[in-house]
Amino acid sequence: MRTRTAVIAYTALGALTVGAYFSVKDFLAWPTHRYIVVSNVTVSYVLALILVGVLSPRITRRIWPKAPKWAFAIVAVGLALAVVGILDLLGAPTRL
Amino acid sequence: MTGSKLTTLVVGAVAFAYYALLSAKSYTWVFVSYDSGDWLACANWWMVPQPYGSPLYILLCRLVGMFPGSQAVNMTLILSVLPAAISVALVYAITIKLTDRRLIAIVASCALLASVVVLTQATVVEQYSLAVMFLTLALYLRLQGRPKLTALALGFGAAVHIIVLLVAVFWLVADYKYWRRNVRAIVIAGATITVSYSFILVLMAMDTPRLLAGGLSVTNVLDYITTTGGAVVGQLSIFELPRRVWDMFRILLVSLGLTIVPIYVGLRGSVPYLKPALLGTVAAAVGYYFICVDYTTWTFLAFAAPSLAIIAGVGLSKLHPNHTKVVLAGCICLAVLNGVFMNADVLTRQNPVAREYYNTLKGMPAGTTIVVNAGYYSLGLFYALSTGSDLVPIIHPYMDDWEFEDYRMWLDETYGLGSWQGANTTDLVGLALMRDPDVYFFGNDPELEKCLEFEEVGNLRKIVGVR
Repeated sequence: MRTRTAVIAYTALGALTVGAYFSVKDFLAWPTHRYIVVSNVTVSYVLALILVGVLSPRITRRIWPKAPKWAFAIVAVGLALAVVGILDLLGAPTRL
Repeated sequence: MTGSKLTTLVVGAVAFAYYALLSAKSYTWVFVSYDSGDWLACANWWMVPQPYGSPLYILLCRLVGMFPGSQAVNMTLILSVLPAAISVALVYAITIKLTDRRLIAIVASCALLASVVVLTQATVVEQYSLAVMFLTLALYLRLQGRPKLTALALGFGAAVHIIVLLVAVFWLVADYKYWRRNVRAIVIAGATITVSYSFILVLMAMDTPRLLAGGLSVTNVLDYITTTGGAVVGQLSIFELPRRVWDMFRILLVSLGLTIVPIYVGLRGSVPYLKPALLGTVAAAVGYYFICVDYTTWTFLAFAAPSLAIIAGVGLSKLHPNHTKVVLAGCICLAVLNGVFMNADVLTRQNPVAREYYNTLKGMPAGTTIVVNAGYYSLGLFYALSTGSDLVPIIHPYMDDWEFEDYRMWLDETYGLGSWQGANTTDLVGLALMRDPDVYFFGNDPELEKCLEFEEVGNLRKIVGVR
């Protein structure tokens, strides 16, 4: 890392840290109640769908190197059901 | 003793002194240590604590509860401050093994010492510090090439806090290429966790107060697991994500400060043998906070802190030595800032709400009924009950939303309220008023408060009737 880049990075980080410190210290010490927006579209599902999208072609290619595209879809559906099952066990809502 | 071992001890001793100085010296709710009432009750009573049980932690609470002196101080020092200091020393030991540079190892341990997410949990009665210590010990043992002991440490960690089980799963996923050599370790960790959590089933089978779990049955076990945990885990709405990202950004920034630069460099390079475990730990902790509805679960980020400190150490070893000095100065500044603004002792003395609540309960005449919301007020009430207060605990919404029948039956057997199956909170309050007019309400629940008639007695809210 170049000296100039390092100086800029540390100065910016230092300033940001001090700013963040004073904006968050009361929240950490005595958080006041705040209402949370509730929806069936959870972060868990979005992450799970991304995970399924990344994993299904890789798994299919591993077990069946010349698999046609419909095989990816079957693995993706299977994975999605498994993930939804796990999320359901964890307590996430069961429908999008 | 070699120089390195002596330095490790000195680092641990300095961390212990720092955390002990800043630690709360009485019962407190600072830094979201709302569960402390539950753990303090477990020091006096055999009872099933909040889900998911933390069996090893409550066993240690019971042990420390036998020591003379203030329970809150003993538990803070032995079960929070000491494990946090050991974690700091372990980070030093791991980093010096990885980098072979003493100053860098000291900076890595300072980064953990000054990390706000660790400090906040190291200075109050909570189980995070102990679980983080076992997790850091697992990292150390893994680096030493001791897979069985690593698994045992992970098992003990999971017996203190269930999130360590999630971390262990992330380790396995990150380490999937070597799954064959991990089979024995999985068996050891699995056996440790199973045996530990069987203790919770034993407590359910015993004649323990039915305050958080019913008697041993499949339905009660499932209810126990899902009643509170199932309401928050994994349910963060996508619409709340920007706010959560903003909170996480700020919390990580104040916890890491200037170490973000070496962490970035460390993540780009290799960390011998440990990288999958370090990344798995960070992913599990950050991922949990990302999907959990409860905005106070930033405390889980404490699990990621030792891994990030180690990665920072590795990153510093790849940078010019001047970076080490700058980052060390940043860590010292953070440690000083924490001493002023994140001092649990000072914050507790400024706002002694938990201690005042406990003292109020202790001053109540025998037979007084206390109506509270489930949460920190009910856990504080359990603490007072466990220290011998003769109070009737009516907890909302045990009989409304939760339909906690074993609790109602326990209330009847213990206090003779004479309730019936399906009775709700207001029915129980009505029965209590017929027995004794001393019925007080603590908490904040607009829906329940609409159904009750109050009279102000000093700072207290006395219930005089049911609508």
